[in-house]
Amino acid sequence: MSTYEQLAALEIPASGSDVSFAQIALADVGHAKSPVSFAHAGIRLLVNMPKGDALTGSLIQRLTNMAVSFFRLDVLTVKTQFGDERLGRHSVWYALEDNHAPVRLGTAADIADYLHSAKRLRAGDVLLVEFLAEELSRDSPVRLFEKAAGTLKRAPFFANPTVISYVHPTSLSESHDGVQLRSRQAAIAFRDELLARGWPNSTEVAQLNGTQAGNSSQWASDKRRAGELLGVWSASTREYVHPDFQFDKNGSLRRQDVRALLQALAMRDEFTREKDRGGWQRAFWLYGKSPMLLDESGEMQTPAERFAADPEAVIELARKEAEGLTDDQW
Amino acid sequence: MTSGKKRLINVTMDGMPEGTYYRVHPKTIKKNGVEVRCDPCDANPYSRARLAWIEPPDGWPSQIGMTYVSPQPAGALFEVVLRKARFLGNKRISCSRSALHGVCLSRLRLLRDASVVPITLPGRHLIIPPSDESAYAKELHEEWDLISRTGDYGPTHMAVRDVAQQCTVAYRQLAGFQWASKQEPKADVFLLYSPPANKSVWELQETIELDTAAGWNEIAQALWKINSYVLFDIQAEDGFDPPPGDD
Repeated sequence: MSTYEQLAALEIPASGSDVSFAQIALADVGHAKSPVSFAHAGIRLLVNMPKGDALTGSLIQRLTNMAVSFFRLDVLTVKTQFGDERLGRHSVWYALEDNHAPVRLGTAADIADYLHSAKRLRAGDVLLVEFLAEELSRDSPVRLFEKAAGTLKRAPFFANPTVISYVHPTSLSESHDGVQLRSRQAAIAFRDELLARGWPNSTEVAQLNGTQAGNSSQWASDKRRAGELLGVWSASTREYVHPDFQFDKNGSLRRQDVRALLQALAMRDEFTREKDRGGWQRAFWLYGKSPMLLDESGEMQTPAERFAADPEAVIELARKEAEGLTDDQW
Repeated sequence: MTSGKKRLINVTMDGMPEGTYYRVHPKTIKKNGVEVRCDPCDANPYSRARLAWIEPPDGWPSQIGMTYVSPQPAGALFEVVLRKARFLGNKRISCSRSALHGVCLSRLRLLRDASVVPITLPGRHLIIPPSDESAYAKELHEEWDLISRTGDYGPTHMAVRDVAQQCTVAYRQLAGFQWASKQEPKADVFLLYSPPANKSVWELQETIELDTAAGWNEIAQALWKINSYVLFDIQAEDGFDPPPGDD
């Protein structure tokens, strides 16, 4: 009798639903028993585990690590191994040891024999890969691998069965252009959210600060040029508007603090007035939550939020972040 | 120097399995005043990050080196370089490219299992049994919660010495810690100490400089896999900048 009578499984449906972990009895191998339904196709990764053991965090970790490593490194190996159309319409098994050397390609019975004879193995030593496909053409395993690559997300320990989120229903490896496009769209969306806050334009800022100048918008323009006021460009109204962090509750400009902050930010090239003409790089820095700024309950704050009560902390943060990765940070 | 506090109810460790991990590190470091290429497998005795083991307590560099890794690129990035990022809501993360200058992401293979103390739930139940509902257990839970989340790392260093002391008394060696990334709770972060885990436990597989097109793409892909988008640059043609002369 083998030490290993059960397997820890990571199941990856071909499309749509969640990836999950499960325990499967060795006796059920080959019968496609599974807590998730493989509607059409899928991949199941399994490792051996001792009889009577629970699906521990270590095993989940090992399974996930091996799977991620396997997907990243061994697709070409699998491609060559699965060029056999005689295997169509069946579960196909592929067993690997930790060094990823292929040890067996065959039926579930072959795999069970192998596992039973492998008494020297430790729990989790063998990674089994099962493909469940309606039609296992020459390319389908490879396509499944490509679809699954990168979908695995670490699950919390000891949740059993553990569900890990499925990343994308169709394309599992976003193209470089796709990522760039979505990043641009996200930047535009965030800018528009900030603009919707109704920040004051140059005339309104001047009025709130009691200027008597005839051309009231000139006051704000002068302050921006002097590095004492941050403006962000609103393309829709063709004017600068001014983020609210830099004013007190009466709308008065906190000139000294803002000047110190903008000077600290300008230690970074992309945050200089010349490079950040529209002011949005700095606005994103100010209005995004920072892991370095935590409130009393440990939640992240935005520099804009903290600036009202503690401008020095924000100025210091700007200086510190300009330093790059220092030896004590990694 | 320790506080004498018992931080673990059970001196128990979880496995850190061999396999692939990611590490963020600088491209170069200074050794004896000379700029040299950083070996991604080398532990960093200068770290003062979360749970750095600084021994002697006031010494720097430490006699013990630190290696922070994660099985997911996102976990490694969040723990180090993306600490300077901004979280814009709706899974959007803004990152300045200058923060990536001289920074690398390496893929390493841990060649043999290690043992670590898990400090975030549910793994923390190994060191504080779920059945223990005492006031002391509650206090420890609160402390480990804070240690795993705080951006102020100073107080975490005393905790390391306390745990090391407890391990010594129990004839165990503290080899490292494990916690869930604050920004991406599904990504674990592991910290291994050297000794005992010196560079021979690692095998370098790949290094990417993050301040390159390939590096930006690596970050974008890593975040995309956790349903997040990274914003590196804003583009003048998207209406972020005024037309020339309008400013």
